Amino acid sequence: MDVRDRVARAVLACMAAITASGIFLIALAVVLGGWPALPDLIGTVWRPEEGRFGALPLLAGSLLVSLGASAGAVPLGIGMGLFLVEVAPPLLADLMRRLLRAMAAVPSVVFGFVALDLVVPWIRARFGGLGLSLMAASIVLTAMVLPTVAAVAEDALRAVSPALREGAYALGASQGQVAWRLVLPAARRGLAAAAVLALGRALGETTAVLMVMGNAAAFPRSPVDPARTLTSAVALEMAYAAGRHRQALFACGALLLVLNLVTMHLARRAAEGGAER
Amino acid sequence: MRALLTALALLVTGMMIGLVGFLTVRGAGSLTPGFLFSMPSGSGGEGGILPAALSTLWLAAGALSLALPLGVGTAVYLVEYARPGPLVCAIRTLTETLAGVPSILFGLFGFALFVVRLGWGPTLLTASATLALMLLPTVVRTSEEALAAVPQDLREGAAALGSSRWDAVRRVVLPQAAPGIATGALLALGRAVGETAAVLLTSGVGLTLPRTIMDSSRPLAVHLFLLAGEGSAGGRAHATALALVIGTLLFNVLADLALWRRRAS
Amino acid sequence: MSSYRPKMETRGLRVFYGEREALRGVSLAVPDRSVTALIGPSGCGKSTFLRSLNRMHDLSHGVRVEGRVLLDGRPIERLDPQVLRCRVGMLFQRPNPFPMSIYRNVAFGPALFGVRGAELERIVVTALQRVALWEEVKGRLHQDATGLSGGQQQRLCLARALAMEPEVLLMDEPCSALDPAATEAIETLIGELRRTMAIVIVTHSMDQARRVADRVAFFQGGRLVEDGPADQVLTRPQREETRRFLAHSPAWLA
Repeated sequence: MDVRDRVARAVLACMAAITASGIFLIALAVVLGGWPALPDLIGTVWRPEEGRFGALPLLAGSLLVSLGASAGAVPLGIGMGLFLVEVAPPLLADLMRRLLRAMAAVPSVVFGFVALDLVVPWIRARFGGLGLSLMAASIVLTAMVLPTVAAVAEDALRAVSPALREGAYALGASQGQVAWRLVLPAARRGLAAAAVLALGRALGETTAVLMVMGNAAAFPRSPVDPARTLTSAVALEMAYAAGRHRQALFACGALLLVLNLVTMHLARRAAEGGAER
Repeated sequence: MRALLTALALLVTGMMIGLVGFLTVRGAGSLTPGFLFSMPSGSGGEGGILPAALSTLWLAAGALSLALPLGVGTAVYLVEYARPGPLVCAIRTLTETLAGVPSILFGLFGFALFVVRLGWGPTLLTASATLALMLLPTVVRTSEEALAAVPQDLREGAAALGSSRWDAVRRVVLPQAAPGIATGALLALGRAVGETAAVLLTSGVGLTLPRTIMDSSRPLAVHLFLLAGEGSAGGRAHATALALVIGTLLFNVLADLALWRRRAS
Repeated sequence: MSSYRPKMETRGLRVFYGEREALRGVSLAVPDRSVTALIGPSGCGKSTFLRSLNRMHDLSHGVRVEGRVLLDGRPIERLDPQVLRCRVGMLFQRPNPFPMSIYRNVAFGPALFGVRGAELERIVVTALQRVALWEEVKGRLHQDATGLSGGQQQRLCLARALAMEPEVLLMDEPCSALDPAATEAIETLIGELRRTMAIVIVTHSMDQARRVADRVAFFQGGRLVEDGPADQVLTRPQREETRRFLAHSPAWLA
């Protein structure tokens, strides 16, 4: 009996160790693969065919798309959170939550596909250009990131104690005033976490962005210009990259990993700060 | 304020329904059994999606068969064996961190390790192994919850009967936690079916029928991705997208149902 | 003490939580410039009654209110609830300071209605002085209010309510979460405030009722059993139920 227990414990511990090492394996892969080309990334021109691997345009693309998506998803997501907490009757709220979960489950490639058919032509008609653009990518990403923001925002808003709300109503506040002047400020830590989380998720997104962004690896000069992100560069070019190019792509992966780890850490810090109060 | 927020909720609902509705309108006509079960022709733009659908099934099964034991094992270790403390916290944090990593990086990892270093090349097995790592945090998290929800007195009852911890886990705790673990598995399957970025670099893009998991063939998500890139193939592309959405939503609905029934009992 | 017409009055007030009738036809007059204490066993409807006076039940689902509640002779359902709550303020059982600075807490109410700048500052200072909190916090007005002690927090909440210059103040067991020293401070304030407003206070302590109340109303099982001048109800109650209730609390023995 005891032997079996010890064997079981050992095996299970190994499994846990493998799981825990997953993140290190990923880090190892990108660092080992891209380490020599890291210095190459410092530069403003990404033209692999000429041997130039300046990743700044890619970084700019990633940041611009993600910030654009956050600018859309954060207010909309917080609004959804407010709706779920303050306005919707419990049955409707439950239904909406399921809807948001379903939205979160739709694959990235489907979002990209639908955007390609609907959003891109609209942009082309309205604003000229190819339609394949930063704007298209930001719009798709907003929709994709929205459910996450809404879920985190709802938790943060619900955590504001009912006693505080009562106090505000008792002073003569309307529902809108209670939400705007009490609940939102009181939940600001959790809402900040939601915002950072949105940014982090958007930075990591690949497929949908790739499909609607046009993939010109230059600094976009307007929202209607095409652009390329760190993620889409890796996905697109890896298939045919060799030698230094391949290393540069791995290095982009390393950069992406760092960005991701930093944002996720910040989001966690913000969320925990809120829980303390 | 109510009016504004309600309008917002309607907008979001409309977006979601619009997405599915759009695909249904354009694609439902093409989504016939013939389409599902026939081979593609041309360069994939014509004909059916049988190889892609089969590849997806291989992929999901393969990834889950790796992720489930590993994930449940990890969860069992964390909940039943490990002593609460910095070690457990560390493992949890590392797992959570893994959960947030962009999928393309898993693809890079899979490419670097399985395709290049181990020389497996782009096959469904490669993609499965890569995907398994990606699904691991989901499986661990849901399994942990399911295990933690098993009441302590069940474990104590088993111990009082002279059972070893492993026997108690195997005979009492795991069966009790099985519905919750199944929920996690269903969620993971849903993700596996829809994933593109991690799989793009590892599964290959062939259009042949995959007879074993060692074959190189494109799963449905990759197929849709490539179709879109080549300029939509009419209703067939929409049908493919619709099939994907139905597939993923199906798993999520099943997972929701499993959760519901567990809560009801 | 009493004026010609009661400041607030209920006639046949009934409150239903779903199917359950929590308040059965209560008719009570609350005179101006006095303290009316509501006493009775737990769950007898005192708090339900109190919350009817400033329409807090509007905020809960499934609560039905019947009968009339009058403020200065006018039915409160005809008033805008926000305006009503400006005139009828409330202090809660547990102090509930908002997670913001002391200043912003007290300024919250007036700011809702557009008061700003020097006028707002004046109101905040006056309110804090009225509750004898000014000296203690004047150096740290912009610090978070949750850093104050329990007694200070409750006085802060009182200042917050007073900043609206209410005509009626409703207090739901305001001292139950406080130590004796803080309780004494609040009771002293009640003594001052009654000179300018009508106060309705729910209390579990007969001692407290004796110390602060001008009138006492005894509730039981959702009904108003007896009400009248404080020393009459507390020492020479006219109803058997009142007598029995008081017999179980120390005040009777004192």
